Amino acid sequence: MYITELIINGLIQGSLYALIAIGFTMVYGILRLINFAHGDVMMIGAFLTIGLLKINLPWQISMLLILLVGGAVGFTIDKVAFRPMRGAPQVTGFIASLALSLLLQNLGILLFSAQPRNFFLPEFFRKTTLVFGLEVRYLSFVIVFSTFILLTILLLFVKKTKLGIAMRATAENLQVARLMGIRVNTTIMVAFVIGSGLAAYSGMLWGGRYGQVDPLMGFLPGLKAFVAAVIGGVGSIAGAAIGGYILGFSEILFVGLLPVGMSGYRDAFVFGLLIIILLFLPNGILGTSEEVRA
Amino acid sequence: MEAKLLDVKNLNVSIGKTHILKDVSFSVSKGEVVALIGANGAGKTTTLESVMGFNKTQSGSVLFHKGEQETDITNMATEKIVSCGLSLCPEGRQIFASLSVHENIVIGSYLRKNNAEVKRDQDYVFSLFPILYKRQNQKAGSLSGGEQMMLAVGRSLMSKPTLLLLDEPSLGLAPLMVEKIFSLLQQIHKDGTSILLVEQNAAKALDIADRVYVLEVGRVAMSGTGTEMKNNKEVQKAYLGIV
Repeated sequence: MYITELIINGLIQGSLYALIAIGFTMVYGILRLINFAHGDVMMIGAFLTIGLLKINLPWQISMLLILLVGGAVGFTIDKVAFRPMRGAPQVTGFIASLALSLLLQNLGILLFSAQPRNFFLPEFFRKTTLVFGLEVRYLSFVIVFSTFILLTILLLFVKKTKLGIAMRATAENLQVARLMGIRVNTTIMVAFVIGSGLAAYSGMLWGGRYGQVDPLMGFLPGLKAFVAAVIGGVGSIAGAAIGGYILGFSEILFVGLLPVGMSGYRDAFVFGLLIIILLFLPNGILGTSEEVRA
Repeated sequence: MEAKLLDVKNLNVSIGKTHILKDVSFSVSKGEVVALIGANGAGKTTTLESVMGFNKTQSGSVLFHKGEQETDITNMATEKIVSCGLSLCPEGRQIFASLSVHENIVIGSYLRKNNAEVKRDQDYVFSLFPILYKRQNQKAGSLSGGEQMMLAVGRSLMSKPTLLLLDEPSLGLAPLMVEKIFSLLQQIHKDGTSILLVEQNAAKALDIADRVYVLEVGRVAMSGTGTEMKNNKEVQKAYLGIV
């Protein structure tokens, strides 16, 4: 019984991390850019949800809109912040992403104040049903299944479509990708759009799960999603998803199985796990070493 | 002489602060195989990469003629140059190792819309390199060096180039494989693709080239037909090892 609860919670937490980690990994795969502002897109998604629900849009449409508007945010971030400095040293992009992250957070504080606000999803999400004798919210089902569906669509897109193959080719060798006639800026834009759409969507789910949101809420999940991407092997989408679930499960298990007094240290355990995994798999679970490229 | 396909005039290129190409001029006519030979660091690869728009040129021009139309491709974006009908098979093969053989072929035709034509060219590539057909679903990184070279050439052909640029196709291959690749290049040429070839293996290059340019420290030192160059004392001494 207790274990069932842990498993369900692990699935939920893992889904949320996986959704954010994918954006990290897609952008890093092509640009070698660690985008610290990625977590803040999730915060934008959460606040957007509040706005959309205020104007009484049906939740199904709101969910779709969050994905789309999140994508638009990603498009803008790429266009305004990162495209102008393309070709600059990697550290420039890294610093820019830190600046962008601070800008978004402080903009959030300016507009919505730093005070956490309550976040209510519509009635439907708060209904519950019994699973193995446990009361589980509809929201939990939505989180787990919609993540699964989105992941499947994304993996099929990357595997089967011409643009998807082009994205993988660009991630492997940007210069040669251009020789194939691939417009690299387009693939980068697509990576930002998809990644940000998913992050914004996870922001909505995150708000629903924890019941409150604030302008700084994106920082820690963003950092953890980055860890998830690294565990899975940066650049690999399936890896990011796997990393997200590993992280989600281990976090829940640490809290659930360790003595109560220790649960405050869960983040320490999680990052310790990162170190251990990387000691044995320096490229992450599905990552490939850059050196073997002949 | 047939109409010029590629016309490079007084090209000057610097990378960083180093002036690499100095007033390089050469041309490729329709239906020709042209070879650029020269020692390490003579600027052969830089020449090809500059034609493909990887490097900013300081002065000079690169003109490409397709049919009646003349296009100035100097400093154009690489992907646009590809759509004009040039295709570079880069040095060291550089196939997409994490993609399957088939995906490498597919990505070679990225810009093309006409599926029937793409399918036909795919069949053509597979008829040139039957081994690629057999290994279609394998990861490209698992191919042997020679097979990777074939894949790289096949991938370049998939954009249906008017002019195929090849950077050191013999690099790192066993002599038998070099023979094979060069005879296939001749086949590709016979089937109607003009070729601009960069080679360190001067003997092989002189064998198949209609015309040859010799690059020395960023300048065109000599040029002539393949036979002329083969009989040139200086070329024999410096590049063919004949004393």
